[in-house]
Amino acid sequence: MRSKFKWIFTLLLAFTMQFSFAQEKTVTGVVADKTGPLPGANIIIKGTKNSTQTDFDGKFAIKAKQGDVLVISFTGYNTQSVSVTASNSYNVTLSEGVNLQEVVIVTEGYNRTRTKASTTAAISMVSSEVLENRPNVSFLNSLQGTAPGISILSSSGSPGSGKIDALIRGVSSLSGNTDPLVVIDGVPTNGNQFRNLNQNDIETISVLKDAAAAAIYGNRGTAGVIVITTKQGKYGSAMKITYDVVTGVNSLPKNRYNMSNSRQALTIEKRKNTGFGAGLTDAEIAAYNINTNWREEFFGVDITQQHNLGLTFGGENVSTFTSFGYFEQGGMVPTTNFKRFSFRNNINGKTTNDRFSYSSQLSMGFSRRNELNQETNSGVDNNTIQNPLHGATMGLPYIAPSPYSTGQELYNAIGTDFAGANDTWVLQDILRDNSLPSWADETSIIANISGTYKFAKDFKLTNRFGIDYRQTNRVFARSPWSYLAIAVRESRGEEFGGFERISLTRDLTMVNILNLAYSKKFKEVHTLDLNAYMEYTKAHVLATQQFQNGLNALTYEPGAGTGYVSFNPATPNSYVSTAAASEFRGGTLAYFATLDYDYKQKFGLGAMFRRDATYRFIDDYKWGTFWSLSGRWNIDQEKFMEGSAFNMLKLRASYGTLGNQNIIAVGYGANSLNSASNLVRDLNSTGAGYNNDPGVFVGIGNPNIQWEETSQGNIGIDFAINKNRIEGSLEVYNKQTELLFNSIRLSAATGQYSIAGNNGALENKGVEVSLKYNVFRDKEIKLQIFANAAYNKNKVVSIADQDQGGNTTVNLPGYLIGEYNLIPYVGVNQANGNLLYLDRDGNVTENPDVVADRRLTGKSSIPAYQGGFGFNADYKGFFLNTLFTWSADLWRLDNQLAWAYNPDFIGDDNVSSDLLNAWTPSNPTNFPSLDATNYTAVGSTDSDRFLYDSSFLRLKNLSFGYNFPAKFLKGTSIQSLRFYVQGENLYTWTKWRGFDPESISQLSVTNYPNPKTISFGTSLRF
Amino acid sequence: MKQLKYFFGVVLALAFTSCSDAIDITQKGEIDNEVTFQSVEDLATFLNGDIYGRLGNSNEILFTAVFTDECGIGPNNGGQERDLHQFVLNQSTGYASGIWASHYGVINRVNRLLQAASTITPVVDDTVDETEQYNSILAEAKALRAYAYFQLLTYYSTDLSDDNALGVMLFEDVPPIDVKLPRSTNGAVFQLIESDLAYAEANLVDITGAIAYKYVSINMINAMRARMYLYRKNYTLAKQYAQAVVNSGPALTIATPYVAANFYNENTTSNPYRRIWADLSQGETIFALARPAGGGGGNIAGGFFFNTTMATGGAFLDMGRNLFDELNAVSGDIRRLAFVDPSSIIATDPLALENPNTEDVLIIDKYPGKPTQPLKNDIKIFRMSEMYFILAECAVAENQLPIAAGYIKNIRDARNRLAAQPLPVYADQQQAWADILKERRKELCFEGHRYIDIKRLGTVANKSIDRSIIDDIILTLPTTISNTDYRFTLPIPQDEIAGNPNIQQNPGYN
Repeated sequence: MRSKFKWIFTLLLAFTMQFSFAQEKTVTGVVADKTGPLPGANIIIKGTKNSTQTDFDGKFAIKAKQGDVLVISFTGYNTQSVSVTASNSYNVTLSEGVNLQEVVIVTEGYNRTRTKASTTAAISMVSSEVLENRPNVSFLNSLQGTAPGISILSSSGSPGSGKIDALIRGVSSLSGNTDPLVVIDGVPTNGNQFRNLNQNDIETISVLKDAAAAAIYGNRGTAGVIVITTKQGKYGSAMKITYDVVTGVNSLPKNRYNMSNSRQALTIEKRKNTGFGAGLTDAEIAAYNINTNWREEFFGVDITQQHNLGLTFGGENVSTFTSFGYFEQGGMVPTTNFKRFSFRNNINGKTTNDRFSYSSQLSMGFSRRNELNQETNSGVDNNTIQNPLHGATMGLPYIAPSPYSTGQELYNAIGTDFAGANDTWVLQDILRDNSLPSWADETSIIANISGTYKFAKDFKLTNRFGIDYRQTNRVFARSPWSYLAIAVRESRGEEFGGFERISLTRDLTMVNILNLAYSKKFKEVHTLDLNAYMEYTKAHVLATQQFQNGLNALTYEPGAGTGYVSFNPATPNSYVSTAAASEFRGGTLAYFATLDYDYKQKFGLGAMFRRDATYRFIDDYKWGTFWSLSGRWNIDQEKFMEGSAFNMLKLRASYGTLGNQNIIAVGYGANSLNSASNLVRDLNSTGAGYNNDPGVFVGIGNPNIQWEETSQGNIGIDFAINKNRIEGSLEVYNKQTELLFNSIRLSAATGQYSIAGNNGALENKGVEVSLKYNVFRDKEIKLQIFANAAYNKNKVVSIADQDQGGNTTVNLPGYLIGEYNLIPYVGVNQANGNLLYLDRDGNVTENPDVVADRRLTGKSSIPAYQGGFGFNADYKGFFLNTLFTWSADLWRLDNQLAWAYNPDFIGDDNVSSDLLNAWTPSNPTNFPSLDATNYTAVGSTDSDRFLYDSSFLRLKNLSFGYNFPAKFLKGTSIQSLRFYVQGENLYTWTKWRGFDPESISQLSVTNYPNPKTISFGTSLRF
Repeated sequence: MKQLKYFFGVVLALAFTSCSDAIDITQKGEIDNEVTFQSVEDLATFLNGDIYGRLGNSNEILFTAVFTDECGIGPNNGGQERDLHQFVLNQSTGYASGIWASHYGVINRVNRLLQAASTITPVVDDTVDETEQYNSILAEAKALRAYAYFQLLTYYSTDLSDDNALGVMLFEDVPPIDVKLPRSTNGAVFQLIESDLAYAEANLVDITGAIAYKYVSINMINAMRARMYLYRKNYTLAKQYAQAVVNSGPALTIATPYVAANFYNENTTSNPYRRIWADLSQGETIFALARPAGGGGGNIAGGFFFNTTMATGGAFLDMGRNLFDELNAVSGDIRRLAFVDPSSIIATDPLALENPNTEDVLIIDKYPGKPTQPLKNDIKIFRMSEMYFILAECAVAENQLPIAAGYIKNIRDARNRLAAQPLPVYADQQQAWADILKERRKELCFEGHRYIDIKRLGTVANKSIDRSIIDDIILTLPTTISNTDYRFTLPIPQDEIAGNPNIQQNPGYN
């Protein structure tokens, strides 16, 4: 181990030199415009990140040295610079104007902040305005479309769902982790589900994309990094109170499967000669007047509301931000909803001489989520009696909603016969209150504390310790009065039915980051920053579960432990309680150093070198070595650019390598360290063997697993024209993943067909553009247009198993990741109504070989293009903001449509009215005959018949409102008041026929669609 | 400078004290082979866990039932097994992958047991001698390895009677994870099977007691030999071993007493034949795989039903109409009652129905379930009836047709609750083969025999898959394929090919 530290010694020795202490002083002043003091103006000391804001009287105080330059800025005013002289007091009058040059601070993480001009990395910033008061539980939903190169696709609209996939610059691994790392206030989390994080607390989000940016998060940053900074108080600012309230309604989008109404359904049944309609005459069908809208039975309009209170103030040496939030959203499906309380306290303090400062961020959340079993149990996805999401599309419209008010009545009537409408009635029984109680209570604490000590001139030592703690209590039960419990009870011949499972998961991640920093300016033109870090991460996950079979309806209450039926030796296979527990530990360790060099703010150079270790690998593979290099050229600083329209023009380039050790992606909401925890070892286990006697089982490990390595080159241009009237950036990148985590296919002689390991290589190449155009930026009228777009082309470079013949999607060298491999469907045989396909030789056939006749399609479910655009307009206090998001060139198999088109379902489930147009000898259409004889030989995932373009353009957010002018509020304690109405997911343009095109899952059955929400809000500032 | 040193000291102290506990982690409860295999008892526990636990025949049973003529499409079918039922069989078919993997899993684990056993010396002292137990564990393991290899050959070899035909991958060691073996010949594989069975016979200590038939026994070994030599057309040895089992095994189970009131009661039925299928008695069973309530091994009837073995239990497959007609042909045949659930909807003229799928529902009840586990039953592997069939086939091969007829009569008598059955008269060998095939179809339905039986006997009996037109929902589909069709040998699965490019595919599959 000692040799691993050799370099750190060397680095530390290099720091040994003479020091003297800074001669800093506090300068104060007042910032005003021609009408009076300006509260909230920014004062920053040029070349540092030392900044403050003016208080309500326009006063400020900031530490500065003689010779420093104070840069005073305020939106809508010309920026002024003042040099610090011997005087301690500076009064500045800003003039209104359009030539503002806002100093944009870029957060690179780990307390590293830069101005936009000085960063060498590819980073997109998203500010709080984009996130505040949006009706989304997770900030990830709000992030969609706001930054180029990051795709956010949520496959479930159930409130609080963790089923959100974020991809930065495409898919960088096959079986490994592809979620970006989320860093909150400098502490990396191991989560991918953030239902307890209040997005109103977020000040900025940085999306780190290239190797230079993500390098400092090396062992978890290969899939990109999202750095969240929460709101902080400012030193020397008066108490500010903000209160926001939003209420709204959410509703389901519609699908375009053209599901039949009752007369259509009966007509189709009559034609197919099956089901209830088979026995009816045309006249009886025409007179039939039950027409149930199952969509309304299973989905309703629901309420969403949120309240957010924020308090901030700052004294000379302390500043705080405190917030309290409440969020509630109905799930549209009866029995489902989400409620959350959140609390945050961020505090910053420092000594008067600025030698020592500390900060702490504490956030706590408590949420309860009533959810469908399907959300966390994919085993019931396709189950038409346990997954209520099927009811809305598959319920037979000619049957009335269930006439039975209890599970027992339903059982007495139908037994276990699920034919016809019976399965839909069972689904209705599931959605009765307390029929299948299913909830998750999440208590979470994200806390960190850091202290910085400037122990010598130019040197700082910072230690940051953070915890991410999440406790989930889950209750899932089949109440004894529910139909399912009764049906199972009867089939097992038992007296008591039902079961209850109560589980508890405690997930704790601790992170400690030690940072030694050296910063020095030489000869006024050279700036050197050196940093050495140690990052220690340790995760502990404990889980327990208790399971009771047999509940007494007399006393049973969900989650209360009442009504448990005791074990009886006379019925040894009934009323068995089981208990289970598991414990997991894992961790990583990293040592790394960074170097940043600046010459006259004209040239910059960044370098990073790191050693990473993980608990997952052993021996020679435990440690990985990674590095990055980056540089910039601020062309606008060159002499020849003087007088040009560019107020910024910067060329950047970076190249680097990063390692990934999250070799098996965890499920939604799980700790990313908690998988593949002992794949490297042959592990045996004990358990129930043959005939329920004890047995031992062996497991096979792969000791050769090693770090997956991603290398990325990036070239970027950042520019701003005409004093930021037009701003933008352009990125080009090439990202290669080698030693790809992927299952290695094995011969069955090993006892299994696959094992986890390193197999193959991937490539992602892309271009990203982002543009902002401030058309008007006067005080009275403002209009900003923005757009971003990204193109990402992925390719499998190599993979061991190249014979993937019969698979629906394949990963073959030279082709797309997960490229569809399907038999072309070409229409209907006009002679008999059968389906026609192309065989491998291009001949039309009714009976293709489902292995040999597949062909590559050039299509996959990962979008090649995605982006967002919109405008923000302000006129005399009225504002109108829009955000459109889009994705293009992504394809999905609409197997939900395949169900709606399946002639076998006729009579048992509702089908699409498109089947009315099916081929018959007298109606020779291009829709297969209801009696097609080759319907089942080629499945819905074998041919391209149901492969649909899932590209979409969505009006993601629109808000319209009014800011009351200050003169109305004069004499009140209210500083600002705003009313607005906003819509989320208002409209979608797509060729996709299902509820929601927004998903990267290849199949569509039982996706829970994202809701459309319209809400009204009020924001108050005191 | 002093100050600096102090801070460097802090930095390094922190760096060193906390580094290794984050990365040198094994999870609690991990055991390696050294800890696992220390004694003879450990070998026994492993045999009972990862070897017996992997043993199965359910894939073969369900594949055979769907692909041949045992099943029709049930009233609650939402697409389940429809393509296989329409004779779509290729290297992506799940059963081809499952049968291959399950038996190689057993073989791999047996080889691991033999490897572990080589490091363990049985304790021999004044009070205890483990040698016999040790040898018997190896005997059991080898017998199970022989069974696994034999099952693989049965399904993946083109011709079991040709020792030079391509067999399956053969290995006796614990292979490395990147093993890529080609197929060996049948002869080589049979050689290992024979030596394993010889070792097993010499060293096995028969388990005694009511559950003995759920473990390897001498009768089981001989029954396996009888079946193996029959399939290899070595009638002399087949007859020898079948006769040995008949001599020392249980008698054919009879069809009486029959009490209508309790016949279908899964706890109290008094009919000896029905008690076999309800797992209440061993009856004529020679070897069965235990599938206890609350245990592993899957729910066999879950291959036909979603919920329970009744007409309203979510039957996505039911009994093929022609099989039912055979069972229904002889008055008093107990199999008509034992294999067909009373909740069935039986049409008198099914071919005339508008909607035979829902109006003629023949509920399979060979696996009636256990109390509290409606879809679970033991998997019967060898039964005495099969030994009689083997003897009958051997007699036909020797052209002793009346002797063959006698064995068939034995079975028909045992299975009839009302009267003794006439002695069949065979005019020629083909008639005899056909009658044996017909009786095997009735007796051994849903036990995984029909597929290999048609392959073996189809040509000589001039029979093939024999479905009714109403077995499918679509009433215009083919009801049979040629008895020499390439699909009577399973394809080497795509899953194997992906990990083993050296494997050779069977003819007909591309």
